[in-house]
Amino acid sequence: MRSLCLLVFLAACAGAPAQESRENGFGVHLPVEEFFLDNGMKVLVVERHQVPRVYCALYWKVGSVNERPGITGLSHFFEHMMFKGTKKLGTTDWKRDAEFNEQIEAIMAEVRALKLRGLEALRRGKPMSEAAAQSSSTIAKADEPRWADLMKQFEALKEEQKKITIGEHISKLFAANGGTHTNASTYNDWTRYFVELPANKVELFFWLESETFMGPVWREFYPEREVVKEERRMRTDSTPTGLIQQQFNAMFWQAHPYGWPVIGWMSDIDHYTVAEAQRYYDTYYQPQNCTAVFVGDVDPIKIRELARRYFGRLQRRETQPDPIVTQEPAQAAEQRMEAEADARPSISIRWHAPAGVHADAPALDLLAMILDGRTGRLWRTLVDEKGIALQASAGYWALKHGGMLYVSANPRDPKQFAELEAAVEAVVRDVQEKGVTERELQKVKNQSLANLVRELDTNMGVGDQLGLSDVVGDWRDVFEYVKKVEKVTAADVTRVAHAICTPTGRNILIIRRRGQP
Amino acid sequence: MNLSPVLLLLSCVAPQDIPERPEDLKYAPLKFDVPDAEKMRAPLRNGAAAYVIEDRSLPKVEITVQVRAGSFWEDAGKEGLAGLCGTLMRLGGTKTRRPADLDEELDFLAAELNVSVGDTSGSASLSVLSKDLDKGLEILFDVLRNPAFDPEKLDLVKAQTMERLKSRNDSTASIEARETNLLLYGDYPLNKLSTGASIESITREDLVRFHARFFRPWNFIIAAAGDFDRAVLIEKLDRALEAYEIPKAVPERPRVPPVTYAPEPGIYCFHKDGKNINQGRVSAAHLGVELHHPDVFPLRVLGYILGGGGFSSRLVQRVRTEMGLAYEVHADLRPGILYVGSMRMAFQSKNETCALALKTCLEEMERIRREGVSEEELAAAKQYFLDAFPGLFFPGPARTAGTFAFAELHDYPKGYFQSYRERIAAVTREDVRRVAEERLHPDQLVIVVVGNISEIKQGDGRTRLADLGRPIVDVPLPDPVTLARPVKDRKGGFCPRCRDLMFTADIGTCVACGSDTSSGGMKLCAGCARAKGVCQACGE
Repeated sequence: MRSLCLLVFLAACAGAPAQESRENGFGVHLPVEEFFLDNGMKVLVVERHQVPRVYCALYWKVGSVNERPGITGLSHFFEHMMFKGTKKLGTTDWKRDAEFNEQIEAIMAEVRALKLRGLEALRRGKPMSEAAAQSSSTIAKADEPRWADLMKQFEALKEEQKKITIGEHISKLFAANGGTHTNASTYNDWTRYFVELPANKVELFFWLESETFMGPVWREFYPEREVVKEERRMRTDSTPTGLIQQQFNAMFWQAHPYGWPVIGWMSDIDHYTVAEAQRYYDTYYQPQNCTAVFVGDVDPIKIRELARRYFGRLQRRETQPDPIVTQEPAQAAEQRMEAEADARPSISIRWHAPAGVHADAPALDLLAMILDGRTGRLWRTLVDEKGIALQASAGYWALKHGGMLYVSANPRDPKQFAELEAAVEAVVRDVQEKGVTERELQKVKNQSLANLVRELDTNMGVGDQLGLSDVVGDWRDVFEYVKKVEKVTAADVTRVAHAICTPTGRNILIIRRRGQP
Repeated sequence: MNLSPVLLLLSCVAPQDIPERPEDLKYAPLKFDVPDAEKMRAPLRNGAAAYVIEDRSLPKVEITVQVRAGSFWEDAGKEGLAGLCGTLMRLGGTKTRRPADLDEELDFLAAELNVSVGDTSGSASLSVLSKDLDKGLEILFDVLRNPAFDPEKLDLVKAQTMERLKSRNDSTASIEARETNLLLYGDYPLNKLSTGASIESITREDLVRFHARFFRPWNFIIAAAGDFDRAVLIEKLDRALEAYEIPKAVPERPRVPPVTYAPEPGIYCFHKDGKNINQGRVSAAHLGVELHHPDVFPLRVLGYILGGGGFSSRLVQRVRTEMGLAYEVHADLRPGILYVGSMRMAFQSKNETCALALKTCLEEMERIRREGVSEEELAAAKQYFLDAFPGLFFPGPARTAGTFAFAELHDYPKGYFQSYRERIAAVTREDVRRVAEERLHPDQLVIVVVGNISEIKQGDGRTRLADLGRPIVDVPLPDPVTLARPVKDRKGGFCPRCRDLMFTADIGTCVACGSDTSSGGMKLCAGCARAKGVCQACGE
């Protein structure tokens, strides 16, 4: 256990030497206290006493990258299940509840067997049940009566169980104690659970979350599967370009698990089992895989005591997560996708880039910023000078095991895609061949620092900076990054532009408006 | 952080000190005094005012100039002018700064300056590192006072706007939002929708006039928070306002008219083409109340319990958690700010279960009217508002200043925030039951359904849309740019107010001659409308 108080000086701008700017510049005082529990869980605390509120969050090192074909999206589904309760939460009678869950498991095991037969029927081109297809399930027409009968039994049990279920118990307790922003989110590399509470009620977070992660009960598992299907329909299937973006992403990543959607393939969602979820829990939801973050009107001593008392109860287990070993192979040829959608015509180009903690990440970040924005290279050239685009942008998407550099633009005349593509390429080539100016570099360095200052505006912003850095590296990287950005030279920017923006490494997506030439 | 060993010892507590139930946790009382708006308020020159909060925690300053201006006051035929004015103030340069120079100057300072104008209010906001405050303020007021509205930038922004217009029917979400407002508010200024023609017609002179009318100090309420000395900043703001001409008398802020439109209840179906559309989007709404209405606090509590309280609400509990019919489902009974708001329930569900989910939402609305709410629900809802209060309105200095500025610009009732918690605490079960009965009107609901309509109508085989016992009207989507809708009979004339009712529906009866009109939504047949020279839809 140790504590650390960090005084960070963000260097001032305008090309002044680092030492001088340190004196004349501005400082951000962000006291971060770090300590570990005996079980390996890491806790970070930042005191900010402006308002009697506290951002409380758990960041876990697990995301869709840890999945495999067949269980894609399970990290996200698991996150949903963590609001369903435990023996003490979510039910008035855990013994009867366990009996119900067991009976439901027996029925759903048979449904699962029917679904697997359904897949076989589908493979052979046999008639399929339309009723099951409504919920994106595969049941052979021949099995439909049995399936319907099982579902009826399931519905009846569910109705009975409802009488002893306290629905959404955890969320309700947070809300009834002034919790706001109660939510969780799952990404490729991480999952986070968070809430903002009144300063006097922080202990509620410890009680509910330690209880949740000590032992989930797989209650309401099957209705929640349907909820996640609806989420997928809402976010991906029924949006103008959701399916196209999903396909482009799958094309971009040849080998890496980043290629499948975080929400998962629909067929996988339909087949999740309690056993897989439990295995996931046993493997990834161990205390040493978690960083707890508290930002706001807190007393670090009190937090330390609460963390020990509550989260100290979480157990390490034998099972260790499999390391991610798959490396994305170098792209052997340019890839191109042309799509039609009810959407604004656009062109996007992506190149593979190193991970966010890579030594070249700061230079890449600055390269993207030099291309991006209203005074960036792309906008200036494509929108202002040539007048062939309505807007243009660029960015560096940093992940734990890799990343991407992307540029995109909307053509002013949808018939001129070829011209626009050539112009985008020319902008990138210009950076590679002629480099960037010192003023450009200083401008984006200034922006990089100012962006960080703005991120620290809210408790949640501070929490995310620390928590998200920590689950892919170390929370200290937030401050190290500032120093690294300061050291980037124009030559570095040109070098990474050469290394990354290669012709064979290009991935191009063109979206035309449906029904338009 | 140095920890004294004594404190460490004291803080060691045995694990058995964990209470058996979360309800058994004991909390110290929370002390939170509502920030004193009067103390923060500084009257400024020329009728402006500012809420100023010194906050040294980060080396930056946030300043927002809020202004009463918007599409509500656009002239007919110039729809879109308000939005363009905001965008062009930021992008079109000033009398002494070319657009490109302005952008470059701001970007080099890593400052953010945004100007936007919505339906009843607009704002110009600056976020700048404190070391660059003077430069930032100078640019902010240059943009506010001397916009040049560069013609080339106007062309570009018009082209960007035209592209956005084309996207109006792209997503079911944007269709639902637009059509719901059209059906609920009719010709109310909220529905001043731009068209290709109205955007094309907007000239630089229109922008100059709009700006000159609204962007005046007497129409400014400023929110400022950050790393500065309060007295010095107030002095700086005052000096920035000096350059404006002093009006002889400070004019009143533009007024927002009352809502007089009477919506026609029913289920309105909008078919969205596309084989990928496997989910429908549904909302059910009627007009509600305005912020000064005496029932707003009981309505807040009622709305929270019905569907505003997320996972604590009945709609989420039934439609999502128990039935698995939707990821997103909610209700919103919050009051409108300057005009009457709408009370709505909304969800997205796969095509086959939209009807069932809608039926369930309607049942819940009926049930809460009939039965009211339980003591536990009431207590939990009230505790949420009481405990969350600081986070909802005053989570940090910039938001606190913004909250007060917004309240003043939008004529909030006096002492609104001071009495907020008392008024929540005073809500009784009887209040909630009464407002549920008096303010919720299931029979008046305008229900908008967007998606694959034939699949949605069919339902899941047990519940069809037609089973809900409400008239169903199919409405074709308008052309996204002209907003004209294809109609079966274009011969009848329509007044501008009824332009958006030009849809085909069931056969109706002409009130003048008794013949069948082409559409059940119409008062007159096309012939009588032409003969009388009146609008076919409303007869006026």
